[in-house]
Amino acid sequence: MNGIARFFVMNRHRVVELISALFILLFLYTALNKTVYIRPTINILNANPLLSNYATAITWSVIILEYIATAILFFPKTRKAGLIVSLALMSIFTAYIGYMMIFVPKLPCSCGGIISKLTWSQHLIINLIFILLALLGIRLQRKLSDQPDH
Amino acid sequence: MKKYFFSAFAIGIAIASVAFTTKVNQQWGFHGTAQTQITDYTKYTLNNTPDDCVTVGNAPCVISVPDAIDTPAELQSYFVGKSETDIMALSSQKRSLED
Repeated sequence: MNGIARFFVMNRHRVVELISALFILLFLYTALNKTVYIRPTINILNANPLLSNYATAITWSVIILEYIATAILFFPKTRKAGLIVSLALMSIFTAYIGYMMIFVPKLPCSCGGIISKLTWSQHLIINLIFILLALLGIRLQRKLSDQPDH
Repeated sequence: MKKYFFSAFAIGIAIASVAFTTKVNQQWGFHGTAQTQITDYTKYTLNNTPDDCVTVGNAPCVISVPDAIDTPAELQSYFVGKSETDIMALSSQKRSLED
């Protein structure tokens, strides 16, 4: 087993905690930002003809889901469920970005968005990294759950 | 308590970041074809970036306005009393148009 793999095996608990903390930071930051600046957030979805009729409902649904994900990631007992919800959310966000990049000829300006400095491509890459982190966290958490003291 | 440390730290950073972050504004892209249209609110589209934005120019690219300004009527009211220079100052990037 190489050094990196040994590190993960020896520190499963810490790695899962760190991954969960990263997702808490991501979801809570974006949920709070969307809540405070709700109108710009809805308007970005309004720019998409496919989603404009449901922009308000989708925005509030995403915000609520992000708060729920934050809460269930916080507690060790529900962390696995939180990582699964995180994986689902990131997959949906990534699919949305992929759809926009492939099928929308003129991408709306995301400069009013939360992480306003990122391009659509950069956003896609960051999302893919978080998906990998979620998968790693779920796998490590599964191994932790198999141990008698967890 | 130790098992909550990283999560609690993440919550603290998230709340602090939102509390001290720059205010999110509405972004209106200017799609006019002449410099004389800079103050024409109908030439702006919400959350839409023109294709020809550059660093230096004589027209705005995307103007940044308060987040309450998200309809054409509100943009029209916002433009009242503002000169072309005032509106140019709201855009970090520019476009080059005929006069």
